[in-house]
Amino acid sequence: MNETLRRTWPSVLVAVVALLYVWIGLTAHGRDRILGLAGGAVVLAALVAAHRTVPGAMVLLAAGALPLAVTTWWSIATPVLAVLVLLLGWFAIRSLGRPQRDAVSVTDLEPRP
Amino acid sequence: MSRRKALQILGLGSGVVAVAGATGLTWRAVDGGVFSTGTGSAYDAWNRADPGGHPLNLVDAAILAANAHNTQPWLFTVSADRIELFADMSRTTGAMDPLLREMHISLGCAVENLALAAAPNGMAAKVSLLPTPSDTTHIATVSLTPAAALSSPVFDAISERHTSRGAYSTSRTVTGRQLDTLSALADIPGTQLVWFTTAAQKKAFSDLTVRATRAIIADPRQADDDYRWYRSDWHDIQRHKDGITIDPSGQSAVVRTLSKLLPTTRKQNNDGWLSGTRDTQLPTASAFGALVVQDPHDPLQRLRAGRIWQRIHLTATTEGLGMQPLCQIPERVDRETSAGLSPEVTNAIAAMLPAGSHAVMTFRIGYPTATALRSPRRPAADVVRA
Repeated sequence: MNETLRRTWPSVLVAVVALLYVWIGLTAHGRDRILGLAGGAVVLAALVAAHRTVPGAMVLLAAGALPLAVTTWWSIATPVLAVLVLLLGWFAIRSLGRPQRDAVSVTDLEPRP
Repeated sequence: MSRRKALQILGLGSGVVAVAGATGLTWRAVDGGVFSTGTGSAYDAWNRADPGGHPLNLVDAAILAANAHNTQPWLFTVSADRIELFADMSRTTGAMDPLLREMHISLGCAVENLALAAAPNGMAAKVSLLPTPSDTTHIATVSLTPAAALSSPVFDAISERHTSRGAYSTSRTVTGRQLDTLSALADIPGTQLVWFTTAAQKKAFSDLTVRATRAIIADPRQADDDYRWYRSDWHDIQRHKDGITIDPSGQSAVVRTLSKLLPTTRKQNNDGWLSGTRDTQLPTASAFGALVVQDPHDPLQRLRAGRIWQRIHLTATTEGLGMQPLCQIPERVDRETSAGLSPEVTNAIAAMLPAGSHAVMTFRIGYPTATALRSPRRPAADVVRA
């Protein structure tokens, strides 16, 4: 699997779920609107922060995903989204936080006959 | 392909499937109104009851009246010094209300709100019920004259009054003094409020209500006409702005969500109605009541009973009390009468009431354990005709 794809694909999935948070925020009212819009933004921010600090990004991920899921647990949808954000986000942040491996394999460095 | 690569592809594929499923679930929830409870154009009318000094402001209050099956069977004509109220005969509930008792009670509730809204809007109202003997759909004329604007807590309660269909507190009971205060509101001769407060009385009322509920469900015609007014689709609710919906049903938030996410069959609906009545509404009631009149077929007595019901419910709202019509008994009585069925429920309720009186409205009262939610309403603009 292409290294770049392997590193970015979980982030793309997390970003999609973050946009679902934003969508819910746009249709909800009052506190849930704020938690949806802010939650989506914070989850996206976590992906950006993963390049600098993995623990910080993990905290942002939880801070973005959990409040709406807790306050609207009865909706079934938001707890499912939160679980997805945390699971996929964990993979995404670990991938983004790791230094990129050299795309050239070791065998390529062996002297050619 | 290496084992590691295969696992990576499998993992990412699972992620894609999971996110696709979550997107579908979110779309269903958003489209079904899971996050929009009590909002949208179907609920805007509840925010428009503030006094404005115009006769139309009285109609804004009238359309928030209690009414059976949320059919909102009213039409208005409005001029500077008069409001006429008419029955909308296209909004009856068939075999659920074959003698139009509930329609008249509902219209009586609307009349009461018109009258109560006059003073806060700087008007004095004179109500004349059934002013045109040759036109039975002409329900009331409300003549308006200028007067000093007066505030009223009962008027303020109009937009706060909702039917509480959830569980009532079993640790906090309604006192005899509170019931007496409400009884005093039934101040029209020939109309009386009967309370069922002892354990034996409450059991008899509960047993008969469950029996009547079962009979309605088992009666195909009555069940059909009842189900016709159920609205489960969020877009239907916003378009029609009427009918019985899941949000004010008193069900838990999870059940309401599931009802919006998944299609509900008529059997599930009936089972929910029966179990909710039998297992939650009846056992947790602090007391039951019946509005009784001498002639249950007289539209005038029904309209007056409707006015009293609205007044009682508004007063109870100011006291933090919850109320819910439990009209399966009179609905079944009317059905037995109109269809020539054996008068089983008719005789059973007659034995529980003072001699010579007939129940036109039965209900429960108590302290609610959850906030009652709004029902959809058609705005004044939809029910005022030129």
